[in-house]
Amino acid sequence: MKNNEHNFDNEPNFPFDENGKNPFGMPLDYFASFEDKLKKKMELENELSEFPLLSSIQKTNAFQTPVDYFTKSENALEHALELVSFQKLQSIKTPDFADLETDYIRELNVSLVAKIELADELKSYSTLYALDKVNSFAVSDNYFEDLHLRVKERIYSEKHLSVSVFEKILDFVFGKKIAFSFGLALVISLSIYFYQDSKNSLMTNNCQTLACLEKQEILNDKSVNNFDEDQLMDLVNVKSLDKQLKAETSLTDTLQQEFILNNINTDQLLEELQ
Amino acid sequence: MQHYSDEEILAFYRDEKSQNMALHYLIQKYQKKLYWHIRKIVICHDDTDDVLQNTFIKIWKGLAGFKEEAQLFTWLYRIATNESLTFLKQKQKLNTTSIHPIEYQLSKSLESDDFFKGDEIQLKLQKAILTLPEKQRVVFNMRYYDEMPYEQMSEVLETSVGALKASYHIAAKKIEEILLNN
Repeated sequence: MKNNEHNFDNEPNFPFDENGKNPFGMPLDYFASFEDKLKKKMELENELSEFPLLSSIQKTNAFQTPVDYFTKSENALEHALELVSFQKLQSIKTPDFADLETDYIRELNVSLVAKIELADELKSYSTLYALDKVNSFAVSDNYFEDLHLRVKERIYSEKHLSVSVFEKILDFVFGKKIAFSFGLALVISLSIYFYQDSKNSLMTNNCQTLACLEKQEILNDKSVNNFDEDQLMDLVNVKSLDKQLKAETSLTDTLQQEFILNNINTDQLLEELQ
Repeated sequence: MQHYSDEEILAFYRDEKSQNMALHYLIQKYQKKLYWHIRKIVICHDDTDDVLQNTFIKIWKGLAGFKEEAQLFTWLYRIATNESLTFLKQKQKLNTTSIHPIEYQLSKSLESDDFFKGDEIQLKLQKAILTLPEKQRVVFNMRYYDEMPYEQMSEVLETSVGALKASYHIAAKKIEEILLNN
């Protein structure tokens, strides 16, 4: 509405002021549009007259808005319009502080009640109550700045210590139980092997000649294939071997005779001879 | 520094990818609270540092088994309290040269502690607190300095509210007497 723009010239019902001007004013097109407005109103009333109950009810707005709704919405609208030109800002959501405020007030209430309780409690101990409640302990400079690093370092170093690289590999390849069984079996078989080997080896530590040492080596290693025939012949004790062979032959002869006498009769022998 | 809620920290912990972050946020959120709680029990800064690190290591190892029926905060306080008291017992055992109880030694060490900035009356107060039995000492500190509600203390120390109130009353009375007599 442009209330400041007046048209007093065609207004005969109001006295002019000292300057010849009417102090009252009205919209410029008031009289021009008056007839139209009147017609529309009469139309509406005629329409309503068909519904007597409806026309008897006073036409009021029963709806209400929250306090300052329009002020706020106007501000929000203005804000939105301002943001239109700033795309990035528009995408950022304004945080909703309503919940935060409710929580804050509730917590504040609880803490205030607790403070009052504490103060009341402390009043009964007059000396303590009179004292300033201060923290007299201090910490080294920047102590809290790197505390998390020290704690992390300790946590991770403990982890690394508990799992060695070898354990990791075994764990990766076999799993702990299998690795343990495998290791145990390996240890047992190796110990059996070495035990038997040591049992078979010659305990002659009194070798004085090269031949004796070579013989001992051959017997311990049991690898005669690596030696040539002459070497072996040198190493063999001819006398004792001859004795041993003779004894073995005589023994086998006696056994043969006994076997023939016990199991074969004379007829069978005669048949064989023929 | 932004502090995450306990629920958020636990959620970070449950996700393997963000477990390191959980440790970081947990330490950031609780380091000071737990430090001052431990410090008032073990008194010496270096000992506090040891106990605090052990506390966080225990917390970290036990976090998988933490039942969310209890509050994370009370669980942390409980571990810190137990660690501090265990530390004092070990210190007492190791110190075979002194016939005095550990509280007496702590009281003496306060006088020469570079990290104790209190005036004469504060020193007297701390010495008076150190004359209390360890449980009463913990109760007094939690109530007087930390201003913790009895209900929360009850969860931390697993003691009834009534017993805690009685304990605090006895402790405060003793301290009053000591301060007045000195």
